[in-house]
Amino acid sequence: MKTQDQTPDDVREVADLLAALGDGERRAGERVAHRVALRTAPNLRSAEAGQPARRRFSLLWLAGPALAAAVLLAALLVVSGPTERAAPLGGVEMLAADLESEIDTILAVEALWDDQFETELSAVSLEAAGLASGDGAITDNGSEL
Amino acid sequence: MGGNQPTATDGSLDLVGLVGAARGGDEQAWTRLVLELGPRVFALAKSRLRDPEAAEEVTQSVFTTVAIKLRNGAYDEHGRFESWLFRIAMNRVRDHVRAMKRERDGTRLRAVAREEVEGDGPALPDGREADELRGALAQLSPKDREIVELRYHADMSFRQMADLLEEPVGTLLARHHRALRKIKSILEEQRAAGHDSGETGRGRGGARAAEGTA
Repeated sequence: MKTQDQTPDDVREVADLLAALGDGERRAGERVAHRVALRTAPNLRSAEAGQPARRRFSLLWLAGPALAAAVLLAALLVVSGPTERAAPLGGVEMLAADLESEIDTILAVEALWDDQFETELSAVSLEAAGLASGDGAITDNGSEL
Repeated sequence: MGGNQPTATDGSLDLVGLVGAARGGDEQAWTRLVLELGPRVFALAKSRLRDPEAAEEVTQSVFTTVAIKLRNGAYDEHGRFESWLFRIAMNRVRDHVRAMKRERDGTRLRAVAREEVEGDGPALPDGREADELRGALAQLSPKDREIVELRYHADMSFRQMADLLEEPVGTLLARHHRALRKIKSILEEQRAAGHDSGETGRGRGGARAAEGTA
């Protein structure tokens, strides 16, 4: 018992009475303590629950500017799209240009052949016509037949 | 549920461990803490306020403050949790006493009187004896009464009280002895004056008047 230590003998009886009084009050306080524990626990819980929310909120503050920057960059990409989009497609277009050039060349050569052929064909036709009409054939050495 | 509660190596309650766990949001640790210390805070408050409802109100207020301060990291006493807690409790009790004095509510005083008569209080065999003891306690000086209440209601050791009140242990021992002698003297006077006759004399009336003092 508390009064057994450091309590002079002349007041030990009073100390014992006070100790009993205090014990009784504390026993009555045990029921109170149960209620108080239940009622006050949320003060711990609410902080714990609130901290994630606060963290999310603070993250939002950080994410906001980053998000805005990302949107701005995307907008810039859209606006300056062709230039920037051409870069990765340059190779394809170059290839297409080469092919077109080759096709043009081929067509040009074909056209040339066509022209020449027609010209020569016309000449041969004329010669053939001359021979048919007896206008004297001209040998290869230029003499008349 | 069923988490291991911190215990010291000798099996006693590890208050530091409980406080640490409660700071981390461990409600089980918090509950254990309140169950351990709450009755002492209640007994201290009730001794001063003499009203169990007010004492419960103060007890809840104290632990609400403690919980908030633990949560916010405002507790930095490091190993002096009991002193810190009872400092808060004593301030809260003083504030309440001042409020009661301002109020001077006759209803409250009658409720206190009813409680005394019905013996709803300490488990002393004789309710009247408890009443006399409380009356004698109320007649002490504030400092002497504080020592007695911290010792016998808040169940604090002299070393803890020295830490709380920032006074030497020797000073507190002397004050304690003086207070107990005073109580003994008052009780002897009351018995000699025939206190059994009821609400007469200085004892009970003086106690009732003094109960509103800090």
